[in-house]
Amino acid sequence: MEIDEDAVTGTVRFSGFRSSDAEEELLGQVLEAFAAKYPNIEVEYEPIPEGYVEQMTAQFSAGEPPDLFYMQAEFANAWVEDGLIEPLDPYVAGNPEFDVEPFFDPLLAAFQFEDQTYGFPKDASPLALFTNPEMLSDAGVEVPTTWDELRTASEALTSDGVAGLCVGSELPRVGAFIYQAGGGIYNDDKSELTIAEPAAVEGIDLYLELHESGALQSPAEIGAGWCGEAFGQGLAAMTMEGNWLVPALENDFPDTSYEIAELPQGAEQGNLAFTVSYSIGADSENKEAAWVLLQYLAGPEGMAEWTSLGLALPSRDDVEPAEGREALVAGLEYATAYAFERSFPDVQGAFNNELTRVLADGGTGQEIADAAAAAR
Amino acid sequence: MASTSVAAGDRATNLGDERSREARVGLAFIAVPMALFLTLQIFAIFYAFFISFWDWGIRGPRDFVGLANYSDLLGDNVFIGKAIPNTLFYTAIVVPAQMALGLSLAVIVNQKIRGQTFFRAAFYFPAIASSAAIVVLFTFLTQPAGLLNTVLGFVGIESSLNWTNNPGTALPSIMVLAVWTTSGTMMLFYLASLQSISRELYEAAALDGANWWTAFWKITFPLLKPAHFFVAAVSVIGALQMFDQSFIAGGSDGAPANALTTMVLFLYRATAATFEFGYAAAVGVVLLVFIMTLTLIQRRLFGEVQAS
Amino acid sequence: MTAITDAAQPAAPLPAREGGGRRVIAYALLSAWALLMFVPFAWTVITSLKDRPEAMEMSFPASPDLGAYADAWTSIDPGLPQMFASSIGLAVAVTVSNVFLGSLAGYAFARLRFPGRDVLFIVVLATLMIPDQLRVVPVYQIMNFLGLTARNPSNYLSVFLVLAISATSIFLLRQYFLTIPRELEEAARIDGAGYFQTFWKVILPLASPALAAVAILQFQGTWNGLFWPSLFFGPVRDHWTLPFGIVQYQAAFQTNWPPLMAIVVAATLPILFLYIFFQRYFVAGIAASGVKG
Repeated sequence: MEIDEDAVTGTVRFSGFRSSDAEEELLGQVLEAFAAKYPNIEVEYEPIPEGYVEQMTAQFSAGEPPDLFYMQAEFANAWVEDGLIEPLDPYVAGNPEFDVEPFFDPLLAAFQFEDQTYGFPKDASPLALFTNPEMLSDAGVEVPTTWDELRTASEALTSDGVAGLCVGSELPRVGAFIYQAGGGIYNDDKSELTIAEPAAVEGIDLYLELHESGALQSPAEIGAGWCGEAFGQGLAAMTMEGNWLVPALENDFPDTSYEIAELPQGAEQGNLAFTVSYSIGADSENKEAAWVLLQYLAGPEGMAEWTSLGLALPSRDDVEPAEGREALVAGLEYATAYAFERSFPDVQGAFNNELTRVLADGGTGQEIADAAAAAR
Repeated sequence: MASTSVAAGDRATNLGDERSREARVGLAFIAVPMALFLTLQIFAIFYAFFISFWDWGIRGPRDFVGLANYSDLLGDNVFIGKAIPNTLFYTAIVVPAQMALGLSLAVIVNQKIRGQTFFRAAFYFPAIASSAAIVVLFTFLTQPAGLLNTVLGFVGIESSLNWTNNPGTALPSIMVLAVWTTSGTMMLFYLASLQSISRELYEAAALDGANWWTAFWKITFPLLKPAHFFVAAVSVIGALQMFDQSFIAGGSDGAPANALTTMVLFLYRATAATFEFGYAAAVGVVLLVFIMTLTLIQRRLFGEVQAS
Repeated sequence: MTAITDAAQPAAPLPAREGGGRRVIAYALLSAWALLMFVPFAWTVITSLKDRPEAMEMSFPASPDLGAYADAWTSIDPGLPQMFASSIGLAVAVTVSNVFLGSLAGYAFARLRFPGRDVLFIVVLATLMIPDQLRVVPVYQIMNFLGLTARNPSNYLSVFLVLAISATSIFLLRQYFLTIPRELEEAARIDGAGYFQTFWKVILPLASPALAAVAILQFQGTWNGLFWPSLFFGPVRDHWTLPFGIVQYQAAFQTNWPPLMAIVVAATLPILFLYIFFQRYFVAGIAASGVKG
């Protein structure tokens, strides 16, 4: 479907969840640049500060969704299955100037179902290993790059009142270990749960093993709301978090120094990436104008602007990340997008609950995996 | 007030007319509220009842499934094992506590004591602040390094618990928070009714030599029966529907380990996390049945007071 | 049975005879409890005077200042005055509506005979039992049908309609009206007053405690409410109420406490003053027509 961007007119209702002040400002600038380039299209930006999912659900059910909106990867499957999202392949085919090759494959895969693309990732947040260089040099330890190094390093860094490693006791973190062990939460086409298979369980067992030895603690055990807080307060020497930790550290814990490295490797390199796409609704009114806006925002120009502050990471490899984010972006190559199928929230919930139980009462990785698998 | 001859004439000649006039006035008085209730509330019940028999997605019905949603619910471990027990436990403890505290505060604040206005304001204060802010604050204060543990330390109790994130203490903590927050509202309800009790009754009792404690139990408490029913009903209904505090403290997962999952949180998950509207509707219907049953039982217990 | 009196006087007095010691303890306990009520608010105020990194700690601000307030004032979207206006408008409308409709309906259920009265009252009660989360989809669709959603400026009405009357208001007022002796109405009717006149001139003035309670509850509930506003007001910035301001400072891992607390403080003060103003009606009674028991 070829669209002559300069000929398209009308209004685009663009909606998304409101993020931080800095990002809102940035987005405002991007939209201004867009308006300058396409004066015939008017963008009505409706940021939703609260209850985005409820808003979208309500608007979908009334058959009047915005023209362009954010689609969180974890809802992608459900929304596509329910026929709410416009397939974008015809648009891509008709407009080859929009280059989709530079998008990181794992991220794109989160929005592709049955060989159709339903959205393009607006940015990405993978995990990385944050380390406290002072603590590491005090303990004479190098930044670990393999599981074995991780074991020795975290043990060496653990002392009274400081945990060597802080990792959240939840699937969005432990999942990284699962992929590093060569396993996966689901199989490639997301039709089967593979979390209870030996390779995946190995990853869960690593978490339990490190926890057992005292080298790894969950944020609750350390006494912090999340690992970022623990790290920022100097209660953990290393942690696995995403690029959202950077502004948190700079704003709330400016005295804590940090370095960012890629996650250690197990049998393979593995990582999780959290992402959101720009998508068009099947019932949207002005799809053509929405497309023009989409390919601007998701194209190299718009994305470069949007990610220039480093608060968000580009989902295309032809956009340079902001300074200091290289280790994070490197992880995007081999990450798995954290988005599966519609009953995944139940699987995740069961996993988290069972893990909490095991951490308190003891148990095995297999038990946790089985409980998760049973919840589907 | 001058009597209109029409009114006098009406009553003298036609009682039936008067009755039907009263009926019309009555219906007119309730017309607007009932219209709003019927469209925005009752319609929703029927809608929910209807779609609970379907596999219903965001875009509409997918398949008629009869009672499948309900049988799935019965087999859902989280619903049966967590959502229902959590909700019932929460209600059973919070309601009596709220009522007792609300009544005590109302009685106290109704006295001629110094600083009456100040105390009235103070006790109602928690209800004034926004629920979100309070829960966030509470979570912060009950962190391992937070104020609560620090204070406990002062009195010799060592604690490094993260109260709202520990499966064992999460729900009790939220319960304490709920009682603390809503006691002011219950106090308000009781205060309104306390005003309608005649002073002469107390004066007579005092003359008979009754002390304050006796006067309370023999006069105040029984005369507040209508208020008790009201407060109990509203309290139970509110407790059975608890959502905000759970959601803010633990997210839609009811973290940790579903300790904070209530029936309404479960319903919310089905609506806004997995988008299974039919399933969510079934939860809603079950919840409605629960609430109706409990309210009817209360009505029996407290009786329904009609003015003599 | 019960009689309306000049309830300006309190009920059973505290035991004065038991000696000063008892009184002191009683006051001490009361004050301790009152303090407990205030502690969180005190912490809120303290945090609002801190700088961002300090906020996470259990400490007093090193150099307390109103920076957070200035920050909130300038950076909040769409601006504090607009949000105050939106909140006040909605809260006043909902309160007036609840007081008016609630007292009319409460009186009808308490004192007027009409067909289906008991059944309809059960219907009213039933509405309390329906969780909002269950109603989201059907209510949204109705409002959408009426054209009151999305960017339509009249979407302000949609939230108003949802909140315009609450069963609690009707229930509370009905309970109160039931305790007013029938003699008063009969006297008014004998004097030739119509139903509405009786209601408006005789009964309503006697109900100030209950009316005050409804007013306070509805104003405060609407003021702090976020559920329905977030569903309908999202697309129209100018309609955003104060709670929207609070959430603007909350982000998954980046809650900016000081300005957040500043807004909480700013949002709480008006309610506090309103409450102090209204609560005097709990003392004042009534007895315009001076019925002695």
